[in-house]
Amino acid sequence: MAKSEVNMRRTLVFVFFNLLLCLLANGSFATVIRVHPTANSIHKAIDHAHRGDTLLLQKGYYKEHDITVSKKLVIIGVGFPVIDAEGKFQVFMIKGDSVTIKGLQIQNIGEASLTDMAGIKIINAKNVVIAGNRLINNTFGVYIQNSTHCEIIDNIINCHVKDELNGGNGIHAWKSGQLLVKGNAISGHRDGIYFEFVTNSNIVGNTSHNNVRYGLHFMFSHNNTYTKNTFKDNGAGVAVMYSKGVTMTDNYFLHNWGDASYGLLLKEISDSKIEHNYFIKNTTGLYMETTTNVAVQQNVFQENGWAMRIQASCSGGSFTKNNFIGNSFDVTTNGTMVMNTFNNNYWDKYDGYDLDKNNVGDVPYYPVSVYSVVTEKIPSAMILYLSLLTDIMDQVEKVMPTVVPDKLKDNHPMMRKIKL
Amino acid sequence: MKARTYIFFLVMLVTTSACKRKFEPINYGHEACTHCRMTIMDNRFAAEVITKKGKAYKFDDMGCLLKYMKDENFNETGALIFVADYNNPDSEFLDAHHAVFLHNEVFKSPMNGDFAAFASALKATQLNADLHGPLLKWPNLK
Repeated sequence: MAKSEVNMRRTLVFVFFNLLLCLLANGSFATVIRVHPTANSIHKAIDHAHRGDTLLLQKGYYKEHDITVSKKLVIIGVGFPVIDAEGKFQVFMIKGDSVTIKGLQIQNIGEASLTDMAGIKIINAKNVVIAGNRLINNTFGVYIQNSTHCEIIDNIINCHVKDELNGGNGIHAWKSGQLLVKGNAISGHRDGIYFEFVTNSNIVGNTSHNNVRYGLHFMFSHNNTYTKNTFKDNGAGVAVMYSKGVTMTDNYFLHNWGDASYGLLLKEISDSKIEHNYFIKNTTGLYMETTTNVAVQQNVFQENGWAMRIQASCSGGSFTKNNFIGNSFDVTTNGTMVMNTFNNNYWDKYDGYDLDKNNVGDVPYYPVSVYSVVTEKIPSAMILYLSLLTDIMDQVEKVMPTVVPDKLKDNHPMMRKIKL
Repeated sequence: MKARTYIFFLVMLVTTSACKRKFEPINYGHEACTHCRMTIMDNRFAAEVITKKGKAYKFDDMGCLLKYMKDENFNETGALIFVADYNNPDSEFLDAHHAVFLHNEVFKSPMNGDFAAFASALKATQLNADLHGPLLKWPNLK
Protein backbone atom coordinates (compact mmCIF):
# COMPACT_ATOMS: atom_id res chain seq x y z
CA MET A 1 0.00 0.00 0.00
CA ALA A 2 2.69 2.40 1.09
CA LYS A 3 4.76 1.36 -1.87
CA SER A 4 1.98 2.03 -4.33
CA GLU A 5 1.40 5.41 -2.77
CA VAL A 6 5.03 6.24 -3.18
CA ASN A 7 4.82 5.02 -6.74
CA MET A 8 1.77 7.12 -7.36
CA ARG A 9 3.37 10.16 -5.86
CA ARG A 10 6.42 9.51 -7.94
CA THR A 11 4.29 9.27 -11.07
CA LEU A 12 2.46 12.45 -10.27
CA VAL A 13 5.68 14.27 -9.56
CA PHE A 14 7.04 12.97 -12.79
CA VAL A 15 4.01 13.99 -14.72
CA PHE A 16 4.00 17.40 -13.10
CA PHE A 17 7.69 17.87 -13.72
CA ASN A 18 7.37 16.93 -17.33
CA LEU A 19 4.37 19.14 -17.73
CA LEU A 20 6.36 22.06 -16.38
CA LEU A 21 9.21 21.26 -18.70
CA CYS A 22 6.85 21.09 -21.59
CA LEU A 23 5.31 24.42 -20.78
CA LEU A 24 8.71 26.02 -20.35
CA ALA A 25 9.76 24.77 -23.71
CA ASN A 26 6.55 26.13 -25.18
CA GLY A 27 5.49 22.59 -26.11
CA SER A 28 7.94 22.51 -28.93
CA PHE A 29 9.69 19.22 -28.06
CA ALA A 30 8.39 15.90 -26.91
CA THR A 31 9.01 14.63 -23.43
CA VAL A 32 9.37 11.15 -22.07
CA ILE A 33 7.03 10.22 -19.24
CA ARG A 34 7.61 7.13 -17.14
CA VAL A 35 4.45 5.45 -15.93
CA HIS A 36 4.43 3.04 -13.01
CA PRO A 37 1.66 0.57 -12.23
CA THR A 38 -0.62 2.35 -9.81
CA ALA A 39 -4.37 2.84 -9.94
CA ASN A 40 -5.34 4.51 -13.21
CA SER A 41 -1.75 5.53 -13.88
CA ILE A 42 -2.08 5.11 -17.66
CA HIS A 43 -5.28 7.17 -17.76
CA LYS A 44 -3.68 9.94 -15.76
CA ALA A 45 -0.49 9.93 -17.75
CA ILE A 46 -2.42 10.19 -21.02
CA ASP A 47 -4.57 13.03 -19.66
CA HIS A 48 -1.48 14.95 -18.66
CA ALA A 49 0.64 14.19 -21.67
CA HIS A 50 1.03 16.59 -24.53
CA ARG A 51 0.80 15.88 -28.21
CA GLY A 52 3.95 14.10 -29.31
CA ASP A 53 5.02 12.86 -25.88
CA THR A 54 6.32 9.40 -25.16
CA LEU A 55 4.93 7.29 -22.33
CA LEU A 56 7.19 4.58 -21.00
CA LEU A 57 5.09 2.00 -19.22
CA GLN A 58 7.28 0.30 -16.67
CA LYS A 59 7.16 -3.42 -16.15
CA GLY A 60 4.28 -4.54 -13.95
CA TYR A 61 0.61 -5.34 -13.82
CA TYR A 62 -1.92 -2.66 -14.76
CA LYS A 63 -5.63 -3.21 -14.14
CA GLU A 64 -6.97 -0.57 -16.49
CA HIS A 65 -9.49 -0.48 -19.27
CA ASP A 66 -11.23 1.79 -21.78
CA ILE A 67 -8.15 3.92 -22.29
CA THR A 68 -8.92 6.43 -25.02
CA VAL A 69 -5.98 7.92 -26.87
CA SER A 70 -7.06 10.88 -28.95
CA LYS A 71 -3.78 12.73 -29.41
CA LYS A 72 -0.49 11.82 -30.99
CA LEU A 73 1.40 9.77 -28.38
CA VAL A 74 4.01 7.06 -28.34
CA ILE A 75 3.25 4.43 -25.72
CA ILE A 76 6.07 1.97 -25.16
CA GLY A 77 6.21 -0.91 -22.70
CA VAL A 78 9.45 -1.61 -20.89
CA GLY A 79 9.81 -5.35 -20.26
CA PHE A 80 6.27 -6.17 -21.39
CA PRO A 81 4.02 -4.56 -18.79
CA VAL A 82 0.69 -6.39 -18.54
CA ILE A 83 -2.62 -4.58 -18.98
CA ASP A 84 -5.47 -6.78 -17.83
CA ALA A 85 -9.12 -6.16 -18.74
CA GLU A 86 -10.27 -8.89 -16.33
CA GLY A 87 -12.50 -10.56 -18.92
CA LYS A 88 -14.98 -7.70 -18.77
CA PHE A 89 -13.67 -4.66 -20.61
CA GLN A 90 -11.61 -3.50 -23.57
CA VAL A 91 -8.28 -1.71 -23.29
CA PHE A 92 -7.06 0.78 -25.89
CA MET A 93 -9.34 2.94 -28.03
CA ILE A 94 -7.23 4.94 -30.42
CA LYS A 95 -9.08 7.86 -31.91
CA GLY A 96 -6.18 10.15 -32.75
CA ASP A 97 -3.72 10.12 -35.63
CA SER A 98 -0.10 8.98 -35.44
CA VAL A 99 -0.35 7.00 -32.21
CA THR A 100 2.25 4.30 -31.62
CA ILE A 101 1.82 1.38 -29.24
CA LYS A 102 4.78 -0.92 -28.67
CA GLY A 103 5.87 -3.69 -26.36
CA LEU A 104 2.73 -4.14 -24.24
CA GLN A 105 0.95 -7.26 -23.16
CA ILE A 106 -2.81 -6.76 -23.32
CA GLN A 107 -4.93 -9.57 -22.01
CA ASN A 108 -8.36 -10.88 -21.03
CA ILE A 109 -10.66 -8.67 -23.05
CA GLY A 110 -14.36 -9.12 -22.37
CA GLU A 111 -17.17 -10.23 -24.62
CA ALA A 112 -20.42 -8.43 -25.46
CA SER A 113 -23.21 -9.23 -27.86
CA LEU A 114 -23.55 -5.94 -29.70
CA THR A 115 -20.07 -4.40 -29.32
CA ASP A 116 -16.98 -6.10 -30.62
CA MET A 117 -14.51 -5.83 -27.75
CA ALA A 118 -10.84 -5.62 -28.63
CA GLY A 119 -7.41 -5.30 -27.08
CA ILE A 120 -6.56 -2.38 -29.31
CA LYS A 121 -9.24 -0.61 -31.31
CA ILE A 122 -8.34 1.96 -33.93
CA ILE A 123 -11.28 4.16 -34.81
CA ASN A 124 -11.28 6.87 -37.48
CA ALA A 125 -7.53 7.39 -37.29
CA LYS A 126 -4.49 7.58 -39.56
CA ASN A 127 -0.84 6.53 -39.28
CA VAL A 128 -1.27 4.40 -36.19
CA VAL A 129 1.50 1.89 -35.48
CA ILE A 130 0.91 -1.21 -33.35
CA ALA A 131 4.18 -3.09 -33.08
CA GLY A 132 5.68 -5.88 -31.04
CA ASN A 133 2.81 -6.35 -28.62
CA ARG A 134 1.40 -9.50 -27.12
CA LEU A 135 -2.37 -9.78 -27.23
CA ILE A 136 -3.42 -12.75 -25.16
CA ASN A 137 -6.89 -14.22 -24.65
CA ASN A 138 -8.83 -11.37 -26.16
CA THR A 139 -12.14 -11.54 -27.99
CA PHE A 140 -10.71 -9.41 -30.78
CA GLY A 141 -6.98 -8.67 -30.86
CA VAL A 142 -6.52 -5.59 -33.01
CA TYR A 143 -9.67 -4.00 -34.42
CA ILE A 144 -9.39 -1.38 -37.13
CA GLN A 145 -12.39 0.65 -38.16
CA ASN A 146 -12.60 3.47 -40.72
CA SER A 147 -8.86 4.02 -40.54
CA THR A 148 -6.07 4.38 -43.08
CA HIS A 149 -2.28 4.08 -43.30
CA CYS A 150 -2.00 1.98 -40.14
CA GLU A 151 0.74 -0.56 -39.48
CA ILE A 152 0.25 -3.72 -37.47
CA ILE A 153 3.69 -5.27 -37.15
CA ASP A 154 5.30 -8.19 -35.30
CA ASN A 155 2.58 -8.75 -32.75
CA ILE A 156 1.80 -12.05 -31.12
CA ILE A 157 -1.96 -12.53 -31.02
CA ASN A 158 -3.14 -15.64 -29.28
CA CYS A 159 -6.35 -16.79 -27.71
CA HIS A 160 -6.79 -20.11 -26.02
CA VAL A 161 -9.66 -19.86 -23.60
CA LYS A 162 -12.53 -18.24 -25.46
CA ASP A 163 -15.80 -19.78 -26.44
CA GLU A 164 -15.07 -21.54 -29.72
CA LEU A 165 -18.09 -20.37 -31.63
CA ASN A 166 -18.53 -16.78 -30.59
CA GLY A 167 -14.93 -15.64 -30.32
CA GLY A 168 -13.60 -12.74 -32.36
CA ASN A 169 -10.85 -12.31 -34.91
CA GLY A 170 -7.13 -11.79 -34.35
CA ILE A 171 -6.75 -8.79 -36.62
CA HIS A 172 -10.09 -7.40 -37.76
CA ALA A 173 -10.28 -4.55 -40.23
CA TRP A 174 -13.46 -2.93 -41.46
CA LYS A 175 -13.90 -0.10 -43.97
CA SER A 176 -10.22 0.78 -43.97
CA GLY A 177 -7.42 1.23 -46.47
CA GLN A 178 -3.66 1.40 -46.98
CA LEU A 179 -2.93 -0.93 -44.09
CA LEU A 180 0.26 -2.89 -43.56
CA VAL A 181 -0.10 -6.13 -41.61
CA LYS A 182 3.34 -7.65 -41.29
CA GLY A 183 5.11 -10.36 -39.34
CA ASN A 184 2.33 -11.15 -36.89
CA ALA A 185 1.72 -14.57 -35.38
CA ILE A 186 -1.96 -15.23 -34.84
CA SER A 187 -3.63 -18.30 -33.37
CA GLY A 188 -6.74 -19.52 -31.58
CA HIS A 189 -9.15 -16.86 -32.83
CA ARG A 190 -12.24 -17.28 -34.98
CA ASP A 191 -10.50 -15.88 -38.08
CA GLY A 192 -6.80 -15.01 -37.87
CA ILE A 193 -6.98 -12.00 -40.16
CA TYR A 194 -10.37 -10.69 -41.22
CA PHE A 195 -10.92 -7.91 -43.74
CA GLU A 196 -14.20 -6.43 -44.80
CA PHE A 197 -14.29 -3.43 -47.14
CA VAL A 198 -10.53 -2.95 -46.91
CA THR A 199 -8.60 -1.72 -49.93
CA ASN A 200 -5.02 -1.18 -51.11
CA SER A 201 -3.41 -3.01 -48.23
CA ASN A 202 -0.42 -5.30 -47.85
CA ILE A 203 -0.39 -8.44 -45.76
CA VAL A 204 3.16 -9.71 -45.54
CA GLY A 205 4.97 -12.46 -43.68
CA ASN A 206 2.31 -13.33 -41.13
CA THR A 207 1.73 -16.75 -39.64
CA SER A 208 -1.87 -17.61 -38.94
CA HIS A 209 -2.43 -21.04 -37.49
CA ASN A 210 -4.87 -23.12 -35.44
CA ASN A 211 -7.66 -20.63 -35.74
CA VAL A 212 -11.16 -21.96 -35.31
CA ARG A 213 -12.44 -20.98 -38.74
CA TYR A 214 -10.18 -19.27 -41.26
CA GLY A 215 -6.52 -18.29 -41.17
CA LEU A 216 -7.32 -15.41 -43.46
CA HIS A 217 -10.76 -14.28 -44.46
CA PHE A 218 -11.74 -11.34 -46.53
CA MET A 219 -14.84 -10.07 -48.25
CA PHE A 220 -15.49 -7.05 -50.45
CA SER A 221 -11.82 -6.06 -50.15
CA HIS A 222 -10.31 -4.95 -53.43
CA ASN A 223 -6.73 -4.47 -54.60
CA ASN A 224 -4.94 -6.06 -51.67
CA THR A 225 -1.68 -7.99 -51.80
CA TYR A 226 -0.89 -11.05 -49.69
CA THR A 227 2.72 -12.18 -49.72
CA LYS A 228 4.88 -14.67 -47.84
CA ASN A 229 2.26 -15.62 -45.29
CA THR A 230 1.80 -19.06 -43.79
CA PHE A 231 -1.68 -20.40 -43.12
CA LYS A 232 -1.57 -23.64 -41.29
CA ASP A 233 -3.94 -26.02 -39.45
CA ASN A 234 -6.90 -23.66 -39.53
CA GLY A 235 -10.41 -25.05 -39.17
CA ALA A 236 -11.37 -24.27 -42.72
CA GLY A 237 -8.22 -22.81 -44.30
CA VAL A 238 -8.44 -19.49 -46.10
CA ALA A 239 -11.51 -17.91 -47.67
CA VAL A 240 -11.49 -15.08 -50.12
CA MET A 241 -14.78 -13.74 -51.36
CA TYR A 242 -16.45 -11.04 -53.41
CA SER A 243 -13.26 -9.14 -54.20
CA LYS A 244 -11.31 -8.03 -57.23
CA GLY A 245 -7.68 -7.25 -57.86
CA VAL A 246 -6.36 -9.74 -55.33
CA THR A 247 -2.69 -10.65 -55.56
CA MET A 248 -1.51 -13.69 -53.63
CA THR A 249 2.14 -14.66 -53.96
CA ASP A 250 4.62 -16.85 -52.08
CA ASN A 251 2.16 -17.98 -49.44
CA TYR A 252 1.98 -21.36 -47.80
CA PHE A 253 -1.38 -23.07 -47.36
CA LEU A 254 -0.67 -26.07 -45.20
CA HIS A 255 -2.53 -28.90 -43.66
CA ASN A 256 -6.16 -27.79 -43.57
CA TRP A 257 -8.11 -30.99 -43.16
CA GLY A 258 -11.85 -31.45 -42.92
CA ASP A 259 -15.04 -31.80 -44.87
CA ALA A 260 -15.52 -28.09 -45.51
CA SER A 261 -11.81 -27.20 -45.35
CA TYR A 262 -9.87 -25.61 -48.16
CA GLY A 263 -6.28 -24.50 -48.54
CA LEU A 264 -7.74 -21.54 -50.38
CA LEU A 265 -11.39 -20.95 -51.22
CA LEU A 266 -12.14 -18.37 -53.88
CA LYS A 267 -15.70 -17.23 -54.40
CA GLU A 268 -16.66 -14.42 -56.77
CA ILE A 269 -13.12 -13.23 -57.26
CA SER A 270 -12.12 -11.40 -60.41
CA ASP A 271 -8.98 -10.08 -62.09
CA SER A 272 -6.65 -11.65 -59.59
CA LYS A 273 -3.32 -13.45 -59.46
CA ILE A 274 -2.34 -16.55 -57.49
CA GLU A 275 1.39 -17.10 -57.98
CA HIS A 276 4.26 -19.00 -56.39
CA ASN A 277 2.15 -20.40 -53.57
CA TYR A 278 2.48 -23.78 -51.93
CA PHE A 279 -0.63 -25.86 -51.28
CA ILE A 280 0.42 -28.83 -49.23
CA LYS A 281 -1.61 -31.52 -47.47
CA ASN A 282 -5.06 -29.93 -47.63
CA THR A 283 -8.34 -31.73 -48.15
CA THR A 284 -8.88 -29.37 -51.08
CA GLY A 285 -5.91 -27.24 -52.14
CA LEU A 286 -7.71 -24.62 -54.19
CA TYR A 287 -11.48 -24.33 -54.54
CA MET A 288 -12.91 -21.87 -57.05
CA GLU A 289 -16.50 -20.83 -57.57
CA THR A 290 -17.83 -18.06 -59.85
CA THR A 291 -14.42 -16.54 -60.47
CA THR A 292 -13.45 -14.53 -63.54
CA ASN A 293 -9.99 -13.90 -64.95
CA VAL A 294 -7.94 -15.47 -62.23
CA ALA A 295 -4.40 -16.44 -63.19
CA VAL A 296 -3.00 -19.40 -61.28
CA GLN A 297 0.68 -19.67 -62.11
CA GLN A 298 3.76 -21.42 -60.85
CA ASN A 299 2.23 -22.84 -57.72
CA VAL A 300 2.94 -26.17 -56.10
CA PHE A 301 0.08 -28.53 -55.27
CA GLN A 302 1.39 -31.39 -53.23
CA GLU A 303 -0.24 -34.26 -51.35
CA ASN A 304 -3.72 -32.79 -51.29
CA GLY A 305 -6.93 -34.79 -51.44
CA TRP A 306 -8.10 -32.62 -54.32
CA ALA A 307 -5.44 -30.28 -55.71
CA MET A 308 -8.07 -28.07 -57.35
CA ARG A 309 -11.83 -28.06 -57.47
CA ILE A 310 -12.98 -25.71 -60.14
CA GLN A 311 -16.70 -25.25 -60.40
CA ALA A 312 -18.16 -24.86 -63.87
CA SER A 313 -19.21 -21.32 -62.96
CA CYS A 314 -15.59 -20.13 -63.26
CA SER A 315 -14.50 -18.42 -66.45
CA GLY A 316 -11.37 -16.92 -67.94
CA GLY A 317 -9.11 -18.74 -65.53
CA SER A 318 -5.63 -19.65 -66.68
CA PHE A 319 -3.61 -22.37 -65.01
CA THR A 320 -0.03 -22.29 -66.14
CA LYS A 321 3.25 -23.85 -65.04
CA ASN A 322 2.01 -25.35 -61.81
CA ASN A 323 3.43 -28.50 -60.28
CA PHE A 324 0.96 -31.22 -59.31
CA ILE A 325 2.63 -33.82 -57.16
CA GLY A 326 1.15 -36.70 -55.19
CA ASN A 327 -2.47 -35.50 -55.04
CA SER A 328 -5.28 -38.04 -54.87
CA PHE A 329 -7.17 -36.03 -57.48
CA ASP A 330 -5.62 -33.30 -59.60
CA VAL A 331 -8.69 -31.42 -60.81
CA THR A 332 -12.41 -31.90 -60.44
CA THR A 333 -15.29 -29.94 -61.78
CA ASN A 334 -19.06 -30.22 -61.55
CA GLY A 335 -20.04 -29.73 -65.17
CA THR A 336 -18.93 -30.13 -68.74
CA MET A 337 -18.58 -26.45 -69.58
CA VAL A 338 -14.93 -25.47 -69.45
CA MET A 339 -14.10 -21.80 -69.79
CA ASN A 340 -10.63 -22.01 -68.32
CA THR A 341 -7.30 -22.88 -69.90
CA PHE A 342 -4.57 -25.23 -68.72
CA ASN A 343 -1.09 -25.04 -70.13
CA ASN A 344 2.45 -26.18 -69.42
CA ASN A 345 1.72 -27.69 -66.03
CA TYR A 346 3.61 -30.60 -64.59
CA TRP A 347 1.34 -33.51 -63.61
CA ASP A 348 3.01 -36.43 -61.91
CA LYS A 349 0.20 -38.71 -63.14
CA TYR A 350 0.91 -37.88 -66.79
CA ASP A 351 2.08 -40.98 -68.63
CA GLY A 352 2.36 -39.60 -72.15
CA TYR A 353 5.52 -39.46 -74.25
CA ASP A 354 7.87 -36.83 -75.61
CA LEU A 355 9.25 -38.01 -78.95
CA ASP A 356 10.67 -34.66 -80.04
CA LYS A 357 12.50 -34.32 -76.72
CA ASN A 358 11.42 -30.74 -76.12
CA ASN A 359 10.35 -31.50 -72.55
CA VAL A 360 6.70 -30.98 -73.48
CA GLY A 361 4.44 -34.03 -73.69
CA ASP A 362 3.15 -34.82 -77.19
CA VAL A 363 -0.35 -35.87 -76.11
CA PRO A 364 -2.67 -33.85 -73.90
CA TYR A 365 -3.23 -34.66 -70.25
CA TYR A 366 -6.77 -34.89 -68.87
CA PRO A 367 -6.47 -33.95 -65.22
CA VAL A 368 -10.04 -34.85 -64.29
CA SER A 369 -10.11 -38.53 -63.43
CA VAL A 370 -13.22 -40.65 -63.88
CA TYR A 371 -13.47 -41.36 -60.25
CA SER A 372 -13.33 -37.70 -59.31
CA VAL A 373 -16.34 -37.15 -61.56
CA VAL A 374 -18.14 -39.99 -59.82
CA THR A 375 -17.34 -38.74 -56.32
CA GLU A 376 -18.31 -35.19 -57.24
CA LYS A 377 -21.81 -36.52 -57.93
CA ILE A 378 -21.93 -39.20 -55.26
CA PRO A 379 -19.54 -38.22 -52.46
CA SER A 380 -20.02 -41.47 -50.57
CA ALA A 381 -18.58 -43.39 -53.53
CA MET A 382 -15.23 -42.36 -52.09
CA ILE A 383 -15.32 -45.51 -50.03
CA LEU A 384 -14.44 -47.50 -53.15
CA TYR A 385 -11.52 -45.27 -54.09
CA LEU A 386 -8.29 -47.20 -54.71
CA SER A 387 -10.19 -50.42 -55.31
CA LEU A 388 -9.84 -52.66 -58.37
CA LEU A 389 -13.10 -51.20 -59.65
CA THR A 390 -11.69 -47.68 -59.92
CA ASP A 391 -8.59 -48.95 -61.70
CA ILE A 392 -10.73 -50.71 -64.27
CA MET A 393 -12.85 -47.58 -64.73
CA ASP A 394 -9.74 -45.48 -65.23
CA GLN A 395 -8.36 -47.83 -67.87
CA VAL A 396 -11.67 -48.07 -69.72
CA GLU A 397 -11.98 -44.28 -69.70
CA LYS A 398 -8.51 -43.90 -71.18
CA VAL A 399 -9.42 -46.11 -74.13
CA MET A 400 -12.92 -44.74 -74.57
CA PRO A 401 -13.50 -41.38 -72.90
CA THR A 402 -17.14 -40.83 -72.01
CA VAL A 403 -17.43 -39.41 -68.51
CA VAL A 404 -14.54 -36.98 -68.26
CA PRO A 405 -15.07 -33.44 -69.64
CA ASP A 406 -12.94 -33.68 -72.78
CA LYS A 407 -12.36 -29.96 -73.05
CA LEU A 408 -10.64 -29.77 -69.71
CA LYS A 409 -7.13 -30.71 -70.71
CA ASP A 410 -3.56 -29.56 -70.70
CA ASN A 411 -2.35 -29.59 -74.30
CA HIS A 412 1.24 -29.01 -73.36
CA PRO A 413 1.98 -30.91 -70.16
CA MET A 414 5.57 -30.69 -68.97
CA MET A 415 7.63 -33.86 -68.74
CA ARG A 416 9.67 -32.68 -65.78
CA LYS A 417 8.91 -30.82 -62.61
CA ILE A 418 9.01 -27.08 -63.12
CA LYS A 419 11.73 -25.31 -61.22
CA LEU A 420 10.26 -22.49 -59.18
CA MET B 1 -53.13 -51.90 -65.55
CA LYS B 2 -53.88 -48.21 -65.50
CA ALA B 3 -55.93 -48.38 -62.34
CA ARG B 4 -53.12 -50.27 -60.70
CA THR B 5 -50.63 -47.53 -61.52
CA TYR B 6 -52.95 -44.94 -60.07
CA ILE B 7 -53.30 -46.91 -56.87
CA PHE B 8 -49.54 -47.34 -56.72
CA PHE B 9 -48.99 -43.59 -56.99
CA LEU B 10 -51.71 -42.90 -54.49
CA VAL B 11 -50.11 -45.23 -51.97
CA MET B 12 -46.71 -43.66 -52.67
CA LEU B 13 -48.16 -40.20 -52.15
CA VAL B 14 -49.69 -41.13 -48.83
CA THR B 15 -46.59 -42.91 -47.56
CA THR B 16 -44.12 -40.20 -48.62
CA SER B 17 -46.17 -37.35 -47.25
CA ALA B 18 -46.48 -39.26 -44.00
CA CYS B 19 -42.69 -39.02 -43.60
CA LYS B 20 -42.15 -36.35 -41.01
CA ARG B 21 -39.71 -33.68 -42.07
CA LYS B 22 -38.02 -31.92 -39.23
CA PHE B 23 -35.23 -29.53 -38.40
CA GLU B 24 -31.78 -30.99 -38.94
CA PRO B 25 -29.28 -29.75 -36.33
CA ILE B 26 -26.37 -27.67 -37.60
CA ASN B 27 -22.87 -28.82 -36.79
CA TYR B 28 -21.33 -25.43 -36.03
CA GLY B 29 -17.74 -24.96 -37.04
CA HIS B 30 -17.89 -27.84 -39.50
CA GLU B 31 -20.73 -27.41 -41.94
CA ALA B 32 -20.60 -24.89 -44.77
CA CYS B 33 -23.28 -22.43 -45.80
CA THR B 34 -25.10 -23.53 -48.95
CA HIS B 35 -24.92 -20.08 -50.51
CA CYS B 36 -21.63 -18.46 -49.48
CA ARG B 37 -19.67 -21.62 -48.65
CA MET B 38 -18.42 -20.17 -45.39
CA THR B 39 -18.27 -22.41 -42.37
CA ILE B 40 -21.30 -21.81 -40.17
CA MET B 41 -20.06 -20.45 -36.85
CA ASP B 42 -22.36 -17.87 -35.36
CA ASN B 43 -25.41 -19.62 -33.94
CA ARG B 44 -27.32 -16.34 -33.57
CA PHE B 45 -27.77 -15.91 -37.33
CA ALA B 46 -28.01 -19.43 -38.75
CA ALA B 47 -30.97 -20.52 -40.87
CA GLU B 48 -32.19 -23.69 -42.52
CA VAL B 49 -34.57 -24.76 -45.24
CA ILE B 50 -36.10 -28.21 -45.48
CA THR B 51 -37.43 -28.73 -48.98
CA LYS B 52 -40.65 -30.44 -49.88
CA LYS B 53 -38.64 -33.58 -50.54
CA GLY B 54 -36.94 -33.38 -47.14
CA LYS B 55 -33.51 -32.14 -48.17
CA ALA B 56 -31.89 -29.73 -45.71
CA TYR B 57 -30.05 -26.59 -46.81
CA LYS B 58 -28.16 -24.73 -44.11
CA PHE B 59 -27.08 -21.10 -44.06
CA ASP B 60 -24.86 -18.93 -41.89
CA ASP B 61 -26.88 -15.78 -42.43
CA MET B 62 -30.50 -14.89 -43.20
CA GLY B 63 -29.13 -12.83 -46.09
CA CYS B 64 -27.66 -15.99 -47.63
CA LEU B 65 -30.96 -17.81 -47.23
CA LEU B 66 -32.88 -15.02 -48.96
CA LYS B 67 -30.33 -14.71 -51.77
CA TYR B 68 -30.31 -18.45 -52.29
CA MET B 69 -34.08 -18.60 -52.51
CA LYS B 70 -34.07 -15.76 -55.00
CA ASP B 71 -31.22 -17.10 -57.17
CA GLU B 72 -32.64 -20.59 -57.34
CA ASN B 73 -36.25 -19.44 -57.75
CA PHE B 74 -36.93 -21.56 -54.74
CA ASN B 75 -40.52 -22.72 -54.50
CA GLU B 76 -41.53 -22.06 -50.94
CA THR B 77 -44.76 -24.04 -50.94
CA GLY B 78 -44.38 -27.06 -48.76
CA ALA B 79 -40.88 -26.10 -47.60
CA LEU B 80 -40.03 -25.57 -43.95
CA ILE B 81 -37.96 -22.53 -43.08
CA PHE B 82 -36.15 -22.25 -39.77
CA VAL B 83 -34.23 -19.33 -38.31
CA ALA B 84 -32.07 -19.11 -35.19
CA ASP B 85 -33.50 -17.31 -32.19
CA TYR B 86 -31.20 -14.33 -31.61
CA ASN B 87 -31.90 -14.25 -27.89
CA ASN B 88 -31.65 -17.99 -27.30
CA PRO B 89 -29.32 -19.29 -29.99
CA ASP B 90 -28.83 -22.59 -28.20
CA SER B 91 -32.51 -23.41 -28.01
CA GLU B 92 -34.77 -24.63 -30.80
CA PHE B 93 -34.92 -22.80 -34.10
CA LEU B 94 -37.97 -20.70 -34.89
CA ASP B 95 -40.39 -21.15 -37.75
CA ALA B 96 -39.62 -18.20 -40.02
CA HIS B 97 -43.31 -17.65 -40.69
CA HIS B 98 -43.97 -16.99 -37.02
CA ALA B 99 -40.78 -15.16 -36.15
CA VAL B 100 -40.32 -11.41 -35.88
CA PHE B 101 -37.24 -9.86 -37.47
CA LEU B 102 -35.08 -6.82 -36.95
CA HIS B 103 -32.75 -5.49 -39.62
CA ASN B 104 -29.83 -3.35 -38.49
CA GLU B 105 -26.14 -2.91 -39.26
CA VAL B 106 -25.18 -3.32 -35.60
CA PHE B 107 -25.81 -7.06 -35.75
CA LYS B 108 -22.77 -7.52 -38.01
CA SER B 109 -23.95 -10.93 -39.15
CA PRO B 110 -21.44 -13.14 -41.02
CA MET B 111 -22.47 -12.06 -44.52
CA ASN B 112 -23.90 -8.63 -43.71
CA GLY B 113 -27.47 -9.79 -44.04
CA ASP B 114 -27.89 -8.22 -40.61
CA PHE B 115 -31.22 -9.81 -39.81
CA ALA B 116 -31.97 -11.11 -36.33
CA ALA B 117 -34.97 -13.29 -35.58
CA PHE B 118 -37.04 -13.26 -32.40
CA ALA B 119 -39.70 -15.55 -31.00
CA SER B 120 -42.21 -12.76 -30.44
CA ALA B 121 -42.79 -9.07 -31.08
CA LEU B 122 -42.26 -8.48 -27.38
CA LYS B 123 -38.78 -10.00 -27.43
CA ALA B 124 -37.83 -7.98 -30.49
CA THR B 125 -39.17 -4.75 -29.01
CA GLN B 126 -36.90 -5.06 -26.00
CA LEU B 127 -33.84 -4.84 -28.19
CA ASN B 128 -35.47 -2.47 -30.63
CA ALA B 129 -35.68 0.20 -27.93
CA ASP B 130 -32.09 1.07 -28.92
CA LEU B 131 -32.32 0.37 -32.62
CA HIS B 132 -35.60 2.06 -33.60
CA GLY B 133 -36.19 -0.07 -36.68
CA PRO B 134 -39.45 -1.52 -37.93
CA LEU B 135 -40.50 -4.99 -36.77
CA LEU B 136 -40.51 -7.27 -39.79
CA LYS B 137 -42.34 -10.46 -40.62
CA TRP B 138 -41.28 -13.13 -43.09
CA PRO B 139 -43.21 -11.70 -46.10
CA ASN B 140 -41.48 -8.32 -45.57
CA LEU B 141 -38.07 -9.84 -46.08
CA LYS B 142 -38.42 -10.98 -49.66
